Amino acid sequence: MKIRTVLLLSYAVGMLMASGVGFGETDGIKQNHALAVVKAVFSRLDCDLDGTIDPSEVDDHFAQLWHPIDRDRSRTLSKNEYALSHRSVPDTIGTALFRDADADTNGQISVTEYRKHLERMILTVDQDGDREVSLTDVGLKPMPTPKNSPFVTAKPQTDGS
Amino acid sequence: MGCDQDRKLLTTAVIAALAASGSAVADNNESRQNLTSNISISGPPGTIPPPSEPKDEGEYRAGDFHNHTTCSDGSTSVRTLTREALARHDWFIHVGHSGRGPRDCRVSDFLYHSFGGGSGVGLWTNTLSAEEGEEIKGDERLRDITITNYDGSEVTQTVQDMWRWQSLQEFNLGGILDEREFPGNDDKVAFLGLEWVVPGHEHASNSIITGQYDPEPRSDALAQFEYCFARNSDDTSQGGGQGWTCEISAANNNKLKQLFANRPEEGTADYNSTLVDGINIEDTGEHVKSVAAILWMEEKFPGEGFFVQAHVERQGAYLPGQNRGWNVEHMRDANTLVPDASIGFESQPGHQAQPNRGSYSGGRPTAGFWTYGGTGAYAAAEVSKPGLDFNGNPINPATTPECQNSEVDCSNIPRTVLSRPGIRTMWDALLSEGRRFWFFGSSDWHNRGSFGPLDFESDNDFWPGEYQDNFTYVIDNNPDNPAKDIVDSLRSGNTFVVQGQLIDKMEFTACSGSDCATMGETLKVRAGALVRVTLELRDPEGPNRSPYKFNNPILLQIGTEQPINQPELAHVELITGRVFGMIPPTSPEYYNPLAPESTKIARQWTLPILGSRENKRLTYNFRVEGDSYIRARGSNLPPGTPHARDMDGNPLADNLKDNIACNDPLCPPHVEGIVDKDLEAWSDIWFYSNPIFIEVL
Repeated sequence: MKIRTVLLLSYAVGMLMASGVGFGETDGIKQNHALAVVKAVFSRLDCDLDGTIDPSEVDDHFAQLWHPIDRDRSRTLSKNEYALSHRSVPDTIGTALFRDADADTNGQISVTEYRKHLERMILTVDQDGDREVSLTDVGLKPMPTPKNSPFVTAKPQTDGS
Repeated sequence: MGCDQDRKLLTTAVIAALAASGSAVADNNESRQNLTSNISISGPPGTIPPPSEPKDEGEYRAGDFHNHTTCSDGSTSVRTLTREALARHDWFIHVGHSGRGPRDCRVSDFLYHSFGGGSGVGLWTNTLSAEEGEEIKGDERLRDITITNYDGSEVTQTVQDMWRWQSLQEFNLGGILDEREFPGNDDKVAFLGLEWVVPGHEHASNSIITGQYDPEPRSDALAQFEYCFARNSDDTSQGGGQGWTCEISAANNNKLKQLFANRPEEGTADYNSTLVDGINIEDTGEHVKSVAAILWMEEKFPGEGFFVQAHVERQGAYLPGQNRGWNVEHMRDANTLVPDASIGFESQPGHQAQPNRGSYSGGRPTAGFWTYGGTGAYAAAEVSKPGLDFNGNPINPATTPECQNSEVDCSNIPRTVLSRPGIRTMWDALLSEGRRFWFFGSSDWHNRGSFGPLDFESDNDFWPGEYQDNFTYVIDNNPDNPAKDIVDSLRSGNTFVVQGQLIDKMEFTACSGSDCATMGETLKVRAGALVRVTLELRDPEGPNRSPYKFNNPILLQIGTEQPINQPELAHVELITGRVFGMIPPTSPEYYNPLAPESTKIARQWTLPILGSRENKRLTYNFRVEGDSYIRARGSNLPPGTPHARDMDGNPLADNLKDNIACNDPLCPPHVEGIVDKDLEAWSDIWFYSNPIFIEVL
């Protein structure tokens, strides 16, 4: 019995750490999780291009965030839809993020759950507690501002994609 | 003249004699018998003459001046939104955020596929025709767009933004002109405005109509304003080489220097000295620049523009060096220097269907934290000075009761503004100076949140005219330029604002003898004169535009069964205040948002007195003590309704409605069992009048 209990406890702790849920060093993993989410949605939230976002902007711009990822128009997000919205995130982190968002653990993320999830992620990234996250906080760089030819139309540049 | 005076004296004597009982009645809210003497369904009692007809031929027409398309962060094209708005409204001013953007607002983007991602079909870089000479002008600004292909693969593309001055000047007006020609729109008015992202502050709804109804319509004036004064707009191209510069006259510049000489934290008082190559592209904390902009508007295009602070409480207090909200001194500054353009504020925000009504929340923190019955605390409640409690002591996040709510953030104390139910509002503080400063509402339409544009439900916005109406008294003085008639009507103050089609008609007058005034006007009387106030309202029969037909859960709390889509007036009141004259900027009171103690509810009508008849005529007589004003408001919820009204009928903070369950089988799933989102908006509705001033000769 004791050995089984220890094994079960070890398994449970391991699962918690793998998912980034818990305490101690797992807080660092959770910070990375949040960074991945916020980085992915930053440009859609920073509508006024001031280089900062705050949790209240989730409500302001929710449709911009929601419609592109609710692909089947079900008004819920499946695991697959959530994963597609965070392609750059490794599967293990994606699983932990989905678990964070799916508060009632019914396997679907509701509109309310997604709102609160995003707000939580922004506040997690906000390390100085001012409720704002900047481009540099999430490892993004502002687009360069060309100084040349102010009166001449420049052709749009692409990255070749 | 003598005859007129005699007639006035005689009429006054008659009124005084008749009102010997009536005026006393009006002071006794408890007496039902007396109350009934102050309400008339069939006509005025006694021999008091009815209010005179309006002096000018005009009518109240409904419209909206704050809404968005793909010109900024909306979901619909200019043409689509204009058509939707004119289907419900008589006039429509399309605004969009200032700044810049990648999307072509001739193209709808309901699902935001071109907003930082998606197909990229509606981007300027893909829609402009070089063969037709179309090109993006001004200083080049780029952004990365992640485009998702149908197979799910993604590519990142760098595209060029268009400055809003260019889209305003060259592309936005076209869709409006097309809709002006649409069958059935012959007698409707549509033109362009701008939701100006204001330096030092948040946003403002404004317009300059110059040229927009010319034989060859142009919006150059509005475009130049945007170029000169938009926040986060560092284009220095002088309008792509059009030679645009942004200076104001020396006389106006001196006004700024005088007003802001001792307020350096709000920007350089000598605005003209800050211009480099004709423009100041600094933004942060530049309140002075924001006032300079309104001076520029009125100086260059007198009588053709207006400026209204938008969702004025949303971003909390003003903070030097940042871009946040508006304090009472900022309303005073703009209204003092440019009274003909700075005509009021939009304290009834749009976004009424959001989970936090109006997109106001304690987490931002919004000034006053929440809306009160869908209107911000600056016009619907009492607010403290920023950073202080109502006793003038610094807010202490650890002990201030409001800060103990987990949804409220008091960590930034200077930005925090407390609120409480009551009528000594910031708006009343401004009116008590005699300022002609008007109340407006707006749709702030962007989209329906997680719902699609054709759904009936919404967890974000309502279409213009679906939920809120600004009814303004329009006189057709300019048949060739009806936009001028709309701007003149907004400036007049003869406007009332309605949510949820609670009423669709109002005649509000104050009369002394045969002299009458209505909203925005001044009734001049002798001291001690008797004034008769008449409020005629039509509470339309039949359903409103709400999709919800089950009983209103807020009213069920008090045992009233009333379908949400068939609201009835349950509460109407008159609010009066004394006018004491303008407060000088040197006075500490200039920074005080609390109205004087003389502000009071003068008269209140509730059920069953209000009755269920469609047309209601309410009267109130009072003897004038001094310069004053009177305004009206009403709602579908009676005083004392739990979680919604205090015992005086004042609205309570809207976060409390989370405590009201929605248990009806028809309750929509998206509200998750409580009164929230669009259900909350449709369940708690108001009308607000603007004031009538009374001046003692």
